[in-house]
Amino acid sequence: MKHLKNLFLLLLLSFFITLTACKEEDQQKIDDTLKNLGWFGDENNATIPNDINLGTGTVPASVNLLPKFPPIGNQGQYGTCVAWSTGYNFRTYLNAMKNNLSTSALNSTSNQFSPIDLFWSVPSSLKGADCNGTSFEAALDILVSRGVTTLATAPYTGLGDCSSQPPSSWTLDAGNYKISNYRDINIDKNVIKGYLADNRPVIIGARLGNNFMGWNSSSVLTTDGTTYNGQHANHAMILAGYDNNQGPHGAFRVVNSWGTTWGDQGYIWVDCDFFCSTFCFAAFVGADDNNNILPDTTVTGYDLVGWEMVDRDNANSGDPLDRQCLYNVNNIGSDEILASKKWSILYLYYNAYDANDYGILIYDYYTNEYGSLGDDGDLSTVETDSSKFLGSAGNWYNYLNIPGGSSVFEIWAQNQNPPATGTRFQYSYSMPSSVNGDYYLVLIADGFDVIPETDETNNYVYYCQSNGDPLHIDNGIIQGGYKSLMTNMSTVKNTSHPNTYSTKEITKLLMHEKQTGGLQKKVLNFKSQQKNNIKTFSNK
Amino acid sequence: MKKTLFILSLLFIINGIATACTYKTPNTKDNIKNNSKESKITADKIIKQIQKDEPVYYKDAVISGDLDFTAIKAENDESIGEYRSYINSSITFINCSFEGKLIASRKDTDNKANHYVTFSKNLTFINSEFKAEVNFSESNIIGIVNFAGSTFDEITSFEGAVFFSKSTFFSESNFKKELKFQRTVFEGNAEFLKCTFEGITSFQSAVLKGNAQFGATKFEQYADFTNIIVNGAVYFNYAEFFKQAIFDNGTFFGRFEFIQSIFHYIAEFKNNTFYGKTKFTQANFGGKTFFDNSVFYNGKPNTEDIITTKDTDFTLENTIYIESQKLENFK
Repeated sequence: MKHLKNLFLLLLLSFFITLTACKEEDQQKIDDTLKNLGWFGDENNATIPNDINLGTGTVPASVNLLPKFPPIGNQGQYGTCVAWSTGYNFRTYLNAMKNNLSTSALNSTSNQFSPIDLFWSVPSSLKGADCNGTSFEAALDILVSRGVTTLATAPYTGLGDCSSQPPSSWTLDAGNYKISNYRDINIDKNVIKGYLADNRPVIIGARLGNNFMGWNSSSVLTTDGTTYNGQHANHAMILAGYDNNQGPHGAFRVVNSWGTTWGDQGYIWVDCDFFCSTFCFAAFVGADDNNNILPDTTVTGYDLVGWEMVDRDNANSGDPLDRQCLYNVNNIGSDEILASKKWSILYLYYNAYDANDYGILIYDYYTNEYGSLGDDGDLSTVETDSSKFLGSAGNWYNYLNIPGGSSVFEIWAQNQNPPATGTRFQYSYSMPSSVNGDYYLVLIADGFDVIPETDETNNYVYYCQSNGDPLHIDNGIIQGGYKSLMTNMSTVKNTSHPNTYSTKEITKLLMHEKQTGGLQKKVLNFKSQQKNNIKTFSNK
Repeated sequence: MKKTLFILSLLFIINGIATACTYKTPNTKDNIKNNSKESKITADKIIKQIQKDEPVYYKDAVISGDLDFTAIKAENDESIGEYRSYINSSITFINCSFEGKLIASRKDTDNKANHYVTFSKNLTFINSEFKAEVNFSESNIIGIVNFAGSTFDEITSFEGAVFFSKSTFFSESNFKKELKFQRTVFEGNAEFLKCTFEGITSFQSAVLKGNAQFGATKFEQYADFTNIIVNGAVYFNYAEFFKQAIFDNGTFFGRFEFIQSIFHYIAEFKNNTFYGKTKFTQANFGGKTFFDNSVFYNGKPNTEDIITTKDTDFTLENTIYIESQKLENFK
């Protein structure tokens, strides 16, 4: 009897152990399932720049970008969906747009980009073992810094465990097909429709449930059970359009990489409201060199250069928000830039990861609207329309013509009575205390791109860390002991920061904001912080 | 003999204890009367009753504040970031008006956790009015569910809910805004007789294991019945659809009837599998009507005396009818 009792206890114990082991095993299976589709689902969006929202306004009732997409792909049993959405679909689309490829041309593997090349290029530390997924950030960084080769060069076969490195011949070819940047965007149906209407497909990370997985219909998906772990999986796909007349709230056209037997021949319509509230967890747009670039106008004799710039604590003030900016701008072109051109020098800050968070600190305006030739002064003494005060910390007007080969300071100094000495302007300004995070400060000659110049790229001078990293600012106070820093960096987009905002994106933002009144609204918000700031001169 | 006596005594004692335990949670008419005398009740008071596992019964009352069933403490998380509260009280409201929201499903403000509710007993709201949002998403309801004759003024969701009782009643209810029954599982019959659906209505991917009674209903906006599975009969007789009626991709094991139904606009019955008899007798089709890729295992649908207009256009691409004689051949 005692033996029987012991046996019973032993059985009970072994049952418990088995149960516990099964639970752990089940959890592992669940985790594997989650990664198996290929998107990790945990993007570090804090360091991916947000796209600059230029608000495209009204959009059409439907958009279909599929004619510039390759045929539906099939990732097979591998967790490579990120590489299919970003490499195969997105990169192929950009190339098709750039070269106006036809549908038949897009059937050729020489015009399709290779998911295996892209996935193999992602460092092992950033992807799961045995081809078990990666993040958008990892794959898109590769597209920016390395590029991707074509499927003709790198066919999707023999993936192995995805630990192989692409051969050098693939990498060499991939360099021809980089993208210039990628940006995080808000998951908002109007925002997304705006991008699609602007011919920009949207790369998405979604959470899937059984309803999606087993979909085999041209109907609009409006629901899915994604509540429980083990019930859902993270997956990367791409949007190729929308139609307001599909389903009860309009629907997005999603391109999948599960072959043509799934869904609606490989695609699916997803209800716009469901998409934004439940389905989608990450959204990105990207661009190649043809996008996000200001069109250079005809070559002229004008060329403004941000010559030098120093930003430092204001020694005359005990307030750490008070600072001084010392700068000059040269016209290195051959022609005189007349005040009647109404151009301006801007000193602004913008968030390194969300340039929609920006503000103009100093607005130095060259115009013939006030006084007579040679006059200058505080804009608020001659202008009653406060909407024209674009600098939150200072606004100055200058009735000055700048001949070729001269600097703005030089011409300004000549017109002072008696003539001023020194080498550059010194502007006292106050940083708004609402500025918090990682920021770049930048001086832009011809901030609203009014002057058609020979070279538009030399208008910028950045104030940042010496390695190009942004400054960290807490409540308007620059951290890290940067009491004074002189810099001549004309861009912060370099090999260390390949995906940071380009100067052209920033200018595009400023022009858009000026046109739509966004700048003026920002200044009014900061008005309470405005102090009496004086533009003088400095020979330091 | 001694042994038999001992067993009988034991049974007697157990029965006595059981009776005593039952008596501790009475649901007597006296209780009901007391509750009914109060015309204005706060939602907090009801939650306190539920916390004590007391039965909830109100008649002709106005309930103020949000009635948040997720406020009942969840014993533990049932999945990562998923919490489920269990309500052991029977819930009955008759002729009541709810001024605040009914919350049986919510996300935390940081979206990191979801809270759901299981109702262990009945959930009854007869002839009641809900002036704010009603959310029973992912709820499990073990007892009978009865919302008959009720009016839902705002968005109402039973998305992903499971009704375990043999019948679930929403008959003669009026849904004024968007209504979500997507992925809802009806273990028994679903009764929606004479309901009015004024907003967008979706039953996408619902599973109905009994009969689906939608007779004499009115759908004033988009009606989405895609991807549904019905084990019993489907009745939409005398129903009226003012906008799109989408019944694509469904599986219908029983009868499928739209006798004298009216479709004012597009009606879609694509990619369906109909195992039972289908009837559209005297139905009125006012727009494009699609039966593409559907399979009728019980012969052609009855379309006697159907009414069409100049805009009516039937599409029957790849529609397959399998007559009963042909089915015989399979044997």
